[in-house]
Amino acid sequence: MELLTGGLVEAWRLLTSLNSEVFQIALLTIEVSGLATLIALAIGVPVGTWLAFSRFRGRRAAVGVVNAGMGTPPVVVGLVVSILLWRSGVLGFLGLIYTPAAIVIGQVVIALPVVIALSVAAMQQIDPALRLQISALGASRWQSLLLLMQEVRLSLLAVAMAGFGAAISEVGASMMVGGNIAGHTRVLTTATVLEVSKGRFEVAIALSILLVLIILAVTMILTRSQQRAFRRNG
Amino acid sequence: MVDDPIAEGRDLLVGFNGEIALDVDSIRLEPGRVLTVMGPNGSGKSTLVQVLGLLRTPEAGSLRLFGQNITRKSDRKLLRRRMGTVFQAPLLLSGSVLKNVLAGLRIRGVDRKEAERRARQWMERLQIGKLADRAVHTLSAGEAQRTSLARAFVLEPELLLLDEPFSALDVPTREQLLRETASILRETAGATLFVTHDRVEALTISDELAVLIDGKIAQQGPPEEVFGKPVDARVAEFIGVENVIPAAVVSTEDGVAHVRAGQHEVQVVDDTPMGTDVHLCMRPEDVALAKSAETNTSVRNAFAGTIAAVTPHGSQVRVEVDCGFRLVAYITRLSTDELGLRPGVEVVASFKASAAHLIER
Repeated sequence: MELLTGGLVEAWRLLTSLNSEVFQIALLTIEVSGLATLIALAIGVPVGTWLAFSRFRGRRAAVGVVNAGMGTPPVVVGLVVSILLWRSGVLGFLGLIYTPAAIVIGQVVIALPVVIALSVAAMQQIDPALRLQISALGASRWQSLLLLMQEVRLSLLAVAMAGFGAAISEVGASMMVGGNIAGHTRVLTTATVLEVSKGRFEVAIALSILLVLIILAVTMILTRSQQRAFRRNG
Repeated sequence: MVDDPIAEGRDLLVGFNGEIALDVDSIRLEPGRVLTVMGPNGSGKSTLVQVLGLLRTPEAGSLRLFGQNITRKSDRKLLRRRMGTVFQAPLLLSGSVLKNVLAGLRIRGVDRKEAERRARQWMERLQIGKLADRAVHTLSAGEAQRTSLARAFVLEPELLLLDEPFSALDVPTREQLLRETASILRETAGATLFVTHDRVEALTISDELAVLIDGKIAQQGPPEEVFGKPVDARVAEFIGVENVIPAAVVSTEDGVAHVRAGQHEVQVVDDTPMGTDVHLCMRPEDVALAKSAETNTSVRNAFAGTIAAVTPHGSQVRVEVDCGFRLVAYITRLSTDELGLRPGVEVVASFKASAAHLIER
C-alpha cells in the first residue's frame, strides 16, 4: 500500500513539475502511436472494405486469418520486424532498426489486423441495396469507398479507437525494434518496463498514469465526435 | 421516323440458383417515352432494371446503351452516369436531404455551387425545398421517396430506371407522387423504364406496357390494348381479368362468337373461328348481379347462379357466383346491402357481349 501511495505522490510530483524527460517520452509515444494508427487506418479500412464485399475463393479463410491476427502476440511481431530490419536482414539497408520509424512499423503490424477485422464487420452491416444505389449513382471505386466510409463513420471511429489502443499499449515490439534508447526510442510502455526492472515503482506508476491519461484523452475526443455525429445524423 | 433507342436489349438471359430469372427476347427504350414493365413478384422485373442499369451482367444476350454496344471493356461507371435509378426503398445516404440530392451531381464532378442550384430547383419541384437541411432519418416515407426521386431527376438522365418507387407508400402519398412523376416524365426527353405491379400506376404513366411473367415478356403494347386484350390466361389473370373460363367457339355470326362454357352458351363480340378452344375472359367490374333476369334487358349474357363467397375488396365487395362456371363480380357495398348478397343467395349474373374477349388456348 505504501508503495502505491508513494508511487502516486511521485507521479503527481513528476507530472506537475513538468519533468522534461517524461514529457519527451509522452510526446514520442503520441507521435509514434498516432502515426501508426493513421497508417493502419489508411491501409486497413480499404482492405477491410474489399474483404467485406469481394467474392473470391479463400475469402472466408482470409477473414479468418485477419481475425486470428488480432491475437498475434506483440513480441512475435517484434521478433519478425527485428529480423527484417536487422542490419543483415532483408530490409536492413533501410537502417531503421532502433529508430522511432521501426516502432511505427511494429505498431502498424499489430494494429492492422484489428483495423481490418473491425472494418470488415462494420462494412458488412451496410444494406447491400444501398451499395447498389451508390453504384447506380455512377460512383467510382474510390467514391464508393468514401461514401461507404461515411455511412459507417460511427463504427470507423470505434475502429480508430481500437487501433490506437492496440498500438499504444503494446510493449514487446517497441522494446525489440526500438531498443528503448533514452531520448530516442523510449516510449511510455518501454520506459515503464525499464523503471519496474530498476525497482523505481513510483516512476513506473507515474508513467502508467500518463499512458492511461493519453489513451483516455484520445478516446474521449473520438467518442465525442462519434456521439455528436450520431445525434446529428442518427 | 423512329428515334434511335436509348437502350436496346436482345436475348437477355439471367440465371439465379440454377433457374432462369430473366429471358427477354427484345426490349427497346426510346427517347421521351415511358415503357412500363408489370409482373408478379419474382417475375424478373428488378433483374431487368439491374441489367439495364449495368448493375448486373447477363449470362447471354446483347445490350446497347446510348448507341454503344456493351462489352466487358465498356466503362460501366461512365455509362451509369448517364442514368438515374430509383428503387422501391429510398436508399438514402445518411446526412441531410440536400446532401442526398447533391450526391449524383457531386459524383459526376459538377461544381458545388452549380450542383446546389440545380438540387434546390428540383427539391422545390418535388416539394422538399424546406427540408434541405433535415437529417434523412427524420423524414416520413413519402418525404424520403421524394428525396430519392429528386436525386434521380436532378441528374436529368438520358435513361431513367424507376423500380416500383411508390409501392411502399400510403395511398394518398402514392397517388400524389404518381401524378407529379407523370407530369415530370411528360416533359422528359430521356427514356424511362417504370416497373410496377399496380394497374393504376401503369395506366397513368405508360406510353407502352410490357407484362413480364416468369422472366419473359408475355405481352407488350399500348396499355389499353394489353388491359383490353390480354394474349393469354396468365397475362389476363395478372392484369386483373379474374374471370378466365375454359371454353370453345361453337359458331360465329356477324362478328359475334357463340361460345360453349360449361353448360351455357355465351355470346362474345369476337371473330375467333369456330372450333377453337379458347379462354373466355372478362373483368369483374364488367359483371353485374341482380335478383332476377328481368332487369338485365340490354345484355346478351345472363346466367342464374348461387353466391359461393362474398369478401371485401377495397371500397367494393368481391362476389363469387357459381353458375355452372365460376364468375367473379365487383359490386359496390351499397348494392351488396340492397341486394342482400351473401353466400347461398340465388342471383343472376350478366355481362355484355362486348365486355368479354377470347384468348386462344
